[in-house]
Amino acid sequence: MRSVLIFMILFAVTGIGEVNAQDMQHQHDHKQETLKAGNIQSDYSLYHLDSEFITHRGEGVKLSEFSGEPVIVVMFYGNCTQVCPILIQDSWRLYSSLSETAKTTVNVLAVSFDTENDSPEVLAEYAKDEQLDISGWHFVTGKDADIRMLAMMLGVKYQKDSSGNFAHSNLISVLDAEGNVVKRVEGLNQPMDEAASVIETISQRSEQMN
Amino acid sequence: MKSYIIAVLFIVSGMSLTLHAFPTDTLTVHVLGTAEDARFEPSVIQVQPGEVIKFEVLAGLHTVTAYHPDNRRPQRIPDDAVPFDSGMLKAGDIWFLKPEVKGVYDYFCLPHERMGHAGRLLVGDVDTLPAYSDGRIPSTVIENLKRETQLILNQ
Repeated sequence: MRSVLIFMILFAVTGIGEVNAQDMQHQHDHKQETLKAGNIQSDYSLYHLDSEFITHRGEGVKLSEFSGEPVIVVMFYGNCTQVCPILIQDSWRLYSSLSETAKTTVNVLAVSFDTENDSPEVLAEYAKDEQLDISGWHFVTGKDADIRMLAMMLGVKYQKDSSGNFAHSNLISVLDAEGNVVKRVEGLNQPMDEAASVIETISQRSEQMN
Repeated sequence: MKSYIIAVLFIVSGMSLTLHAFPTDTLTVHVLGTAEDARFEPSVIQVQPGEVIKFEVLAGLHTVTAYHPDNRRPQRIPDDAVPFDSGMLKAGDIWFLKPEVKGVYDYFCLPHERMGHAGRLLVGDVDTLPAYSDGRIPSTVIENLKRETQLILNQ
């Protein structure tokens, strides 16, 4: 009886050990791809950044032009064959979970930190391939220093490696009407309910103001 | 002694629950590769409605995502089928899919679609392939699916 008991306990413990080993391997793999987002000053408006960016439609734009409406910001790069397509999909999940009213007020800024490769023309093709060349969505590039400054204000970290790939934070930020970061969703495949609720509230306020 | 018996019963019932949490009668599709070599193996499989397919990731970061407007792609699954997206899967992850509706299901990997990383499920007895829209789907995807499907249908 005792030997049976010992065998079963060993079996159970070994099984649990395998699961834990797998989880640890996942965490290790994930760390190689991801930089944890940094802290930010949430009461400092991004609209203080006076730089001009260029959209995939070839239009110059300043962030302050989005004042008065909610904004979703995600940073990515077009050549990414790892997490960026999933990050864009997550942004799409957030956008598509919004009410029709909120969809008409929200803007989505997908900002590339690969200023070398992601020209407005390349981003235009990217937007078409991703079927995101739609109203309210802006794939954006700019000068290196301006992109770096924006990333710093969002708490997004990125670093180019020798193969031309970027290690980076996986972060989706929501800005309120004044350009303050009011919600951050870090990581992939995260639930978007809270972020959607925040956007709906901002959207309703924007509608009332207009 | 009584406490030993209770402990054994507790462990056995836990193991039983664990076993029932995972489908046992499944077909497996391996997901592997990290860039140009990213692929589903096999890329085309034939199953019956209600059968469970296990996607097991052996290397890299991948998704199993239906070609469907919900995922910003042309619809290439049957009209009544539920669109799916696994979300990010890492090496060691397992994801299950149970297609209930007869027809052809095309799916892709979000990070590696442009490299032709896509797959097809033939659910039920598929006689003819539907005239799905290609949209802006990379030509490598379409060509791979055609070629692999033909091999299955010729068997």
